[in-house]
Amino acid sequence: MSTLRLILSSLFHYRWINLSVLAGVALTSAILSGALVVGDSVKESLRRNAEARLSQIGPVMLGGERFFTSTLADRIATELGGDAVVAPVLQITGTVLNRDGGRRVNQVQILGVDDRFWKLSKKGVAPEGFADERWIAINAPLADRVGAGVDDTLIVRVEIPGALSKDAPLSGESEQTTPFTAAVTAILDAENFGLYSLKSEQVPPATIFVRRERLEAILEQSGRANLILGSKSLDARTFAAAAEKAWSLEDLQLKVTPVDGGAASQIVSSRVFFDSVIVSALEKAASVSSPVLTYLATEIASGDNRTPYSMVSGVGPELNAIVGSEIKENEIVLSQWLADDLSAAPGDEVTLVYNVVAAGRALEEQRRTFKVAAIKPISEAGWDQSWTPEFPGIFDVDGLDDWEPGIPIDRDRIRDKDDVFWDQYKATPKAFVSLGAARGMWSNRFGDATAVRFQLKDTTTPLVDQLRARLKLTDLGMAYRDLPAEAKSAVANSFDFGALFASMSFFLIVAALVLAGLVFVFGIEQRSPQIGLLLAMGFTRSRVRRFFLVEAFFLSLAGAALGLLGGYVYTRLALYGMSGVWQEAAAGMEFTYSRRPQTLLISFLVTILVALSVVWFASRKVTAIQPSALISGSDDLSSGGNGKGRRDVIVLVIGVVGALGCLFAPKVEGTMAAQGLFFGAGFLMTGAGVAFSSILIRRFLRPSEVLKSLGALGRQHTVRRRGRSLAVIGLMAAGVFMVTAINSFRLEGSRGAERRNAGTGGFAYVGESTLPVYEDLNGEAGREKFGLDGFKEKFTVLPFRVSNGDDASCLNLNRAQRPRLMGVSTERVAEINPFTFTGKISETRTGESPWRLLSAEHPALEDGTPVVAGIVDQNTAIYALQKGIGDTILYETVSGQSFAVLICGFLETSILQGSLIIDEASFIRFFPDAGGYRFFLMDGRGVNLEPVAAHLTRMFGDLGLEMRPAPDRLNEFNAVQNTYLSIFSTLGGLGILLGTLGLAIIVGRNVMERRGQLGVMQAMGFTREKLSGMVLSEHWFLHLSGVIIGLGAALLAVLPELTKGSSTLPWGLLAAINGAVLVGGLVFCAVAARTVLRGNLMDAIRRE
Amino acid sequence: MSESLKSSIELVGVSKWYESGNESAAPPRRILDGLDLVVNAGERFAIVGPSGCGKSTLLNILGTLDAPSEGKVIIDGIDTSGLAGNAIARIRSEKIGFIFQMHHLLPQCTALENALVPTLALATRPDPAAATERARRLFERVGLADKLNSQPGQLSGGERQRVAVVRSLINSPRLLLADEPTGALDEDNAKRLIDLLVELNDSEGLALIVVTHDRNIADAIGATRTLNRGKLEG
Repeated sequence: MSTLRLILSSLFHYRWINLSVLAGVALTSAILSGALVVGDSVKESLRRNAEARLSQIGPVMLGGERFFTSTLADRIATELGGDAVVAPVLQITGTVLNRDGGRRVNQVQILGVDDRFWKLSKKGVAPEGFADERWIAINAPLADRVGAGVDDTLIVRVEIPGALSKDAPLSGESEQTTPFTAAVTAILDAENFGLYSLKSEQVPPATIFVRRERLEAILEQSGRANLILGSKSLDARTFAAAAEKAWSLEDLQLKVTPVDGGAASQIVSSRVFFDSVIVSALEKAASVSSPVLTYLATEIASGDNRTPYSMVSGVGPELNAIVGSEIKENEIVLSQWLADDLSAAPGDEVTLVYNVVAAGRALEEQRRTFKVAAIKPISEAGWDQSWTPEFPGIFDVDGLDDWEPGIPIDRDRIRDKDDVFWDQYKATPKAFVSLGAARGMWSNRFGDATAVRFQLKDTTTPLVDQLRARLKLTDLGMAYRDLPAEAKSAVANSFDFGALFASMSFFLIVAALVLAGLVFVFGIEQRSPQIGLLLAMGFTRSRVRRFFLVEAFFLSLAGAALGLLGGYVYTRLALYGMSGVWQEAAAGMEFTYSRRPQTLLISFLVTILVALSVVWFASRKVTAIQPSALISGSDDLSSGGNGKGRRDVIVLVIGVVGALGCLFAPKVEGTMAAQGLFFGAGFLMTGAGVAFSSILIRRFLRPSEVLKSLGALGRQHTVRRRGRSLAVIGLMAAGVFMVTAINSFRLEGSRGAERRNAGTGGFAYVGESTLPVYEDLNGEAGREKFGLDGFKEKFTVLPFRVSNGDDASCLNLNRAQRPRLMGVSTERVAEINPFTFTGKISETRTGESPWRLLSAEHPALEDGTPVVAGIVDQNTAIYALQKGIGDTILYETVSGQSFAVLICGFLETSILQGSLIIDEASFIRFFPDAGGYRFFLMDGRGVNLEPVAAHLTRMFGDLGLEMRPAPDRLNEFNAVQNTYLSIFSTLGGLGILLGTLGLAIIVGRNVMERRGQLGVMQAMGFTREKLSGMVLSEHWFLHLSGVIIGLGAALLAVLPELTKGSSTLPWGLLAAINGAVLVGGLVFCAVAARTVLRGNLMDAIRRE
Repeated sequence: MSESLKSSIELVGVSKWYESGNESAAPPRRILDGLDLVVNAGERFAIVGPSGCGKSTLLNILGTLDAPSEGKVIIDGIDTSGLAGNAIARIRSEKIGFIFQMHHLLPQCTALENALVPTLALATRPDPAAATERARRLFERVGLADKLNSQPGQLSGGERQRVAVVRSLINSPRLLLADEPTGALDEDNAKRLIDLLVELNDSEGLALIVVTHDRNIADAIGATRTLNRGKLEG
């Protein structure tokens, strides 16, 4: 005989009870391991998704708003040496329309690629037929969405990129979109970059692939690209260093020409306005330099004489023979032609009228008066067209009639003599002012020079080398990104589905453990005389307890191992659910089952630990009883005594006081603490409710209560087994509380959607466009231009500027690396004051909109990085960005400088989810090139805006604008949360089912223990029905108490939702869930009681 | 194996009372009242008395299964009231054997295994072969040599109780306490069991105390003491 043998024979002898315990442990292990493996699977799926997205792509260089020469890729490859693949790509966004079906897809990636691109695909070679210049392929997502196959014809609409931002003054005509037809020759799969995307998002974008030269022709960007992809084998730093060595002036769209007969050089940019970093680099390299700023004056007037549309240059005193150092800021030098036209003489006053770009793209006419300092003939040395930059729509046209400078042109004002001037001198300036005066009038966010004239200090070293030493491509808004590293980080920090499922399965796990614990305790109770005997033999209490723990350990070991197999089923079912009924939780994701050994090991060990803890806890009472009592079986294992009664009172008081404390505690805005406190209040109330039940049960001890009725007699039994009774109440209460409270947070976008504090912000429609809209849709001109002035419905549009970035909403499972920034006019949004703020960095004055926080100034960071205020949806911040109020997120400007967005406010779940909102002025400051608006909220209080929305969608179809009802958009976000709640409800529901199964087991056990008593009662003349009623009244009481306590606690937890105006509870759903729990439990009790009472009770007496 | 019970078990002024109930303010119910008793090695007697007089309580206190509300239990000169649970358990395992009205055999073990279970409780495990040999001898002595590998469910009531006797003797205790040991047996089996206990008392020199309400059993034991109003008489 040995201890081990004793334990093993006990395990076998009590196998049925032990199998029940093992089942409970196995269930726990299955749920835990299954849930955690869901996390592994999602991460692995995301990793594979990223792998398919990037294939062999490694470091990349993004052109930002710039188009560099495609040969830069060759030069980088040469610098790198070896057989590294460096592929130039032309990548833009557009809309695609199925010519036959009429289906349109917005936000389509359009890629112009060559053979090198395909070397980076998984397959490594170009798709079949790529050599054909008419080759056009689409990926499967686009094929699905647009409903097209091979040989179908698509109409693709793209924006012709301008040399400079469409928001810049004199940027030419804004509506430069162009369509091209594309007959699909192939549909590409993942092997052939069918899932290509540079963004850390799991949903593959719709993509169309074109030969690069064809897209170059369509975009009028011959020999240019805006993206360079390096192969995975390349180191990101080496790649960047090679690019910095390889760029040319042409890559920066710069051109150097000799001026003044070769005495000096002039550098101009096809982007017209110069980045200050280039001017500064040039100034450092030059011995003498002089910036030039030339601009269009819509009118030059002197007295009653007026000259329309003339170029005027501002220059410094150096390197020109026209304006000397003596010129003052209020003086102007006229050409003889202009002086004659205006009949102006030296000393006369001349007024310049010109347009500047105000906020957004609005033009503002300004004027300034100068005194004529001198009059010089145009033929004078150096007075020529070289002073004027290549303004689009001006420089490249034949005559004044063809001008499209991007400002309104009144062609009636153009006279014959103006045409003659154009024919003879083209865009030669008609007047000169000082550089200071010019900058005072025409400096803008795009630059304050249109050319720089210079003489180099070092004339032997080529200019480009001198500039490379002082300038980096990143200074000009180009960016290097290590995509594999970003993808790795995005996956590593992605939303943890394992933890989510584990937490959502929490109640199910608890129920399984309580069930296992209950059965185990029943087993111990059944063997209590054995325990007494062992104690009598001289075994110590701890040793006896250890016997049971070792037994439990073996059971846990087997159960936890068995559960790992069950976990496989759980994970498969969860993944199946997420691909099917729960697909809203992980849109667009294809899941792969994957498990890490360490996850299984952790689940295995945690299950054993938890199971042993439960057994240790459960066995502590029975081994504490006097052995003599155990042997005689006289102890009922109930917990009587006044001490315990006092403990109930203490728990009740702590629960109630704690819950009230949680309810009325000051909430820290913008954190999850508020929700946590309300949930805490609910849990404390559940605890208090159970303690109250305990006190109530004690009252049944009173003899006067016992014999009141047969039901009271039955309920008296709950005192004997108070631990069990309270376990039932607690389990049911906790289950009802969890499921009710959680489901109260179900969101419905249309509920109260018209309210300003709703998630829709009270806006009726929300729209997003693929290409920017430049016009002000609230202004008269904009409305007239797009036929909106005919609508009698009053409406306003709140437009947002949008920068490219990752979607940080709950629809993206990856951790957003660079959340999208949106710029909005603080003034306008504060006036409307939409959405609900759940947190603010500082208090705003009463009546003042929290949106004003956007325009507040903040001190720079310690390293000098400027800081701007930002507002973000709370869910986006907490879950996707893992940031709180007062935290900052770093971005880079187009000129490569960093800036930080300080989170100043949290919005409650809203249609702005996924983006960080900053003030429009700050946005323009940091993203001057991101012209136009791409996100719109349309507002019309109490007016049906459907016709307007439909009209806008139609009118801006080419730009890919789609206006959708705001509640629909909100529901898309809500669907994620609601789906989580559905998952939770399902798992919680299973937990309650287990809870009610536990209830049934307790009913059975209670009746079995009392079969003798019940037999005696039957002998006394009680009918079986009456006895059944007595048993049911006892257990229904427990069940009902649990449900009522749970429901009360849940209502307390959702009190803020109830008191808030913006939403109401889903009463129907909650009634259905709780009704099912209530009826289910009652039925379970009835079935269990009837089953156990079915046998011959008189036998039990005889046995006794 | 245990050392012999050199001198005695001694109860000094032992009282035991129970609270009357949760709600009641009634005085505690006194079962034993300042009881003094000395049990010497090899002594045997039966304790008799009316139902509910506290016979089993007294036996439990003697066997350290229960603690007195007042007074001392001194075993081999050691006052057990000051001892921790583990020390008391050790005394029990080495010096005291129990027989209860119900046999309480472990249903999962054979007769032999049941008899050997107490050896696991000893601080120093005896040689398994020696322990098994002793068990075999005891089984022979009680007439169950052919039932070593039987499960309790395969034995009659008398046989089970005899297995319980072997179990109580396996660690060579010096005091054997039997609480209504014949309560669940028929007359024949009851007599055989008592005869066996008396024979063991004579041959092994262990002290034997039997609690019974059956006057015939008490007579068979020889000496009798009566528990009356919390005190032993006779």
